[in-house]
Amino acid sequence: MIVTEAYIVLSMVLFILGTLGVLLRRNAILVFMSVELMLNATNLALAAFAQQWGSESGHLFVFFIITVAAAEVAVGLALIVAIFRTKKSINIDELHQLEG
Amino acid sequence: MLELFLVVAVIAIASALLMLVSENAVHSALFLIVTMAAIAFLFLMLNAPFLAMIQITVYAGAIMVLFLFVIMLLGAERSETSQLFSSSASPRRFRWFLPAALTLGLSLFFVIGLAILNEQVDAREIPEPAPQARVLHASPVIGVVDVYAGDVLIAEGLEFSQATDFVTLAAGENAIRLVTQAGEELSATLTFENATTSTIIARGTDAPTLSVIPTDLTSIPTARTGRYTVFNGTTTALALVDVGTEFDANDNYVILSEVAPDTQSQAVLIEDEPVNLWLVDAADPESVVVRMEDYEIAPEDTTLIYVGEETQFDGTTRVVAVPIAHEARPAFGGPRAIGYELFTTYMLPFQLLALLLLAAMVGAIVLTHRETVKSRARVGERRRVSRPLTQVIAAQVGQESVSADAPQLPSSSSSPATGD
Repeated sequence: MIVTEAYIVLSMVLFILGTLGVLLRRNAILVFMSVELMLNATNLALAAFAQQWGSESGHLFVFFIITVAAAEVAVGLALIVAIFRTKKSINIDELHQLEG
Repeated sequence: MLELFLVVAVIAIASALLMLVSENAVHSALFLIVTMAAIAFLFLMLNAPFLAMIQITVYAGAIMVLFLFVIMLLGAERSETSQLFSSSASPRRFRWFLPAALTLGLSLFFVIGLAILNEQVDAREIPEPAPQARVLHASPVIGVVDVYAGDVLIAEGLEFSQATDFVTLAAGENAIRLVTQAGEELSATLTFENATTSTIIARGTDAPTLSVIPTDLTSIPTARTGRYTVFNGTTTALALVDVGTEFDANDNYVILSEVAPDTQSQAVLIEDEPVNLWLVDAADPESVVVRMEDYEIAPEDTTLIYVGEETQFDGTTRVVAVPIAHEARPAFGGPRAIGYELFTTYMLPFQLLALLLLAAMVGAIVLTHRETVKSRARVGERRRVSRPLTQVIAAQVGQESVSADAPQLPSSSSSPATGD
C-alpha cells in the first residue's frame, strides 16, 4: 500500500519542474507544455486524495481540469499561430509588446 | 508495489527533466507524452481506471498531438530556444534568471516538502457517513401505513411488500413508527451506527414487530451478478434452490442450503442468466414452499428476498416471496461511479464546461482565420477588349495600311472566361 504522501511528493516535484520550465524556456510552445505539466501534477495530487478519502469528487475535478486544459490549449495554440504569422517568431523575449 | 511506484515515478521525473532541457521542441513534446503515460499508469495504481483512460485519450492522444501539429506547422523545432544555460541571449534577458528560478524551485521544494511530511496526510481521520435505513412492509395485518422516523415522514401509503427508499438517519437511537390508517402505531426505538445500511422489516401476523437486518450495498466485484440474501419470515427452515427444469430432479442446484426461521441468510452472488428459483423446505426438499416463477436476476443490485405470509383477498394466508432490490455501489473510480456523480451532483459544471469547449472551439477558429482576397467574384466576368486590335494598329500606323477584311480577333463574347 503506497502512502498518499508519496504521490503528493511526486506531484510536487513535477509541479516544480513545470514552474521552472515556464520561467526558463523562451519558446512559447515550450512554456505552454510546461503549464500542461503543472496541470498534470495537480491531477495526480487530486487522484491521490480521492483514493484516500474514498470519494469520487476528486476524480470529477480531474475530469473538469482535463476538459478546461483541452479548451485552453486549443485557444492558446491558435493565439500562437496567429502571432507567428505576423511576428515570424515565437521567442517570448520578442513578444513583449501588446500591439501587432 | 512500492518498487513499481518508484520506477514509474523516476520515469516521470526523468522524462519531465528531459523535456525541459531538450533543444528540439518535438523531442520535448514526446518526452511530455512519456510523462503523461507514466501519470496514467499512476492513475491505474490509484484505482482510477476512468481517469487513466481519459488521460491517454484526451491528454496524450489529442492535446499533445495538437501540440505536435502546431510545432510542425510553425517550424518551431528549428528556432533556437534552448539557451537555457548560456548568457549570450538578447539584452532584455535578465542575467540572474537561471539562478533565481532554481532558487525559487528549491525553496518551493523544501517548503512544500516540510509541510507535507509534518502533516502526516495518511493519519488524518476520514469522517464516516451517517447510517442509512429503509423500511420493508411485510406484515399482512396492519394494512397501508405511513412511516415516520422520529417526527419526519419517510413514506406515505406504504403497502404490503413495498419498501421505502434509503433515508439517512442520525447516528444513535431513532424512533421508527408505522402509523396505520386506523391511527394505531407500530413503533420501536432502534439504534444505528455510522457507516451502516440496514433494512427494518415490519412483520408478524399476531403481534407485528420491527426487526432490523443489515444490508450490504458495497460494490459487487464480478460484473453482471446480483447479490442475494433471503430472510426467512416463516417458522420452518428453508433452502433456496435453482431448479433447472421441472421435469428433471437431477439438475437442481442448491443456492442456499439452510436458512433458519427469523434470520437472514448469508449473501450469495447469482449470475445474470435465466434461473428458476424455488424456496423449499430444508428438511424435505420435495416440499416446495414458494416458487418464484419467471424471475429475472437483477444484476449489479443487492436483493433481499423476504419470505413470509400474506393475507389474500378472501382472508386465507399463503406464503409469498417478496424480492426487494437496490443498486449496489458501483466500483470505485469506474465509469459508472463517475457517471452517477457527474449527472446528478455535478450536472451544472458539466454543462458549463460543454459551453466553454464550444466557445474555445469558436475562438480557435476565429483566431486562426485568415482574410483571403475575394477573387472568386470575378469568375463570371470576361475580359473585355476595349477596341478591336485592328483599329488599334490602324491608329498607330496609319489608316491606309489596314484593309477592311483583315482577319478579326474572335469577338469578346466567345473568348473563354479568364477569371483572375
